[in-house]
Parts: sequence; C-alpha cells; structure tokens
Amino acid sequence: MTNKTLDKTTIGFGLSAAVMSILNTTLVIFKEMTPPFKKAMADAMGHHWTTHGVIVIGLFLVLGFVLAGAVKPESWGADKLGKTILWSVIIGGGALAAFYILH
Amino acid sequence: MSLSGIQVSVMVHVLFGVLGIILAVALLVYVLNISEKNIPRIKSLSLLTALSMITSYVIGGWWYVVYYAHERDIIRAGAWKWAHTFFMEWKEHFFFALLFLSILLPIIAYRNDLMVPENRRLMVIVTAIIVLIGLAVDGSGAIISRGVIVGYMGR
Repeated sequence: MTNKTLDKTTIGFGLSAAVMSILNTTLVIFKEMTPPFKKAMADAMGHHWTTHGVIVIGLFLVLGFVLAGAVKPESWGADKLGKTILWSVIIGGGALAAFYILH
Repeated sequence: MSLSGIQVSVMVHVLFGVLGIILAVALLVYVLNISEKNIPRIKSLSLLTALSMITSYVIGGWWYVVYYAHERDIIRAGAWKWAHTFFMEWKEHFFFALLFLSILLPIIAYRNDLMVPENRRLMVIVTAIIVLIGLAVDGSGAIISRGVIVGYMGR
C-alpha cells in the first residue's frame, strides 16, 4: 500500500526553502540599502557574504526543523508544496535580479 | 597560496558545480522513468547532487572571500563592470536558493514514496529548478571570467 501523505520533515524543509528564498533576497536588499548594517555584517565574520551565508543557512536549518515539528501533513500536499517552492524561487530570484539591475 | 593553486581552486569549484548539474539531470531522467528498481539509484543520485553542490559552495565561497577582491577591482575598472555589479552579485546570493533545494532533494528521495505521482512531481520540480539555477549561475561564472579578461584588455 502506498503512502500518499508527505513526510513532515519534507514539508518542513520544503517550506523553509521557500521562505528562505524570499528572506535571502530581503536580506540582500536590506544590507545593500543600509551600509552600516552591511559593514556590521562584514565586521562580524570578516566578510559580509560569510555572515550572510551563516544567517540564511542557519535560519533554513532552524526553520526546517521547527516547521517539520509544527506542520500538519494533511494540509500540505506534494503539488501545493511544489508550486510554493517554484513561485518563491521565481519571486526571490527575479526580485534579486531586478534589484541589481536598478541598484 | 600560489597563483596556480588559486586558479585550480576556482576550477574545482566550477567542476563540482557542473558535476552537480549533470547528477541532477541524471536524477531527473531516473525520476521521469521511475520503477522500483530505479529507487535506490534515485536516492544515491539525490545525495550525490547535494554533496556536489555543497562542495562547490564551500570551495567557491572560500575563494570568493579570500581571493576575489583583486579580480573584482579589475572587472570594475573595465568595460564589463556589470560582470561584477550584476552577475557576480546575483550569483553569489541566488546560489543560496540552489543550496537549500539541493539539501531538500535527498530529504524528498529518502523520506517519501516516490511511486506516488504527486511526490514524484515534487521531486521533478525541485530537481528541474536545481538544473536551471545551476545553469544560470554557471553561465554567470563564465561572464565574470570574461569580465576579468576584458578588464585586463582595457589596461
């Protein structure tokens, strides 16, 4: 017998990837528009990109585990999760490209 | 590190990125032609794709933080300064989306029944996005490399 319900860890980390694709772009725009914040990020770990990476990867992992524990599997089907991930990547990547074209 | 060592490290970064894309394409083919026999191969390929992308990120990230500043200055002084101001800036940050999805890939493969069409579609979507982002960042890398040459030619 096949199990149609997605596993909770998959939903948690899938949603975390979707949320972080958007938050990653938001953090880029914020740090580029706020030079003192970007400098503080650079001072924290030697390079702003290193600090950026630690923040977004750390948040991705924490959010993944938190959502995996909190989510109800019956409310997130595979198709819905797939569409959410796809659109978040399109929005995140598109907004990032638009920002660097205009910046 | 020697000049050769620095250049080799960039090439190793690119090689693992390209390897990750090739593994993801192979994974896509297996998922689209699913059978009980293919599932162990799908699981292995998902894990190898993730490991390849993570390795590319670690090596490329180290090179970027330690050695890229010199090349950035050459690009920015040249006619193709957008190779840095757009392509490198976009690539260095959008790569994180690729990394998240690469980590998600083995979670989907190992923890779900891929014989279920909906689960398989999720796997196809995530793998296809990885291939497309991989090609986009790889192409950006090529433009950045040419930006360095254009920068030197203008001196």
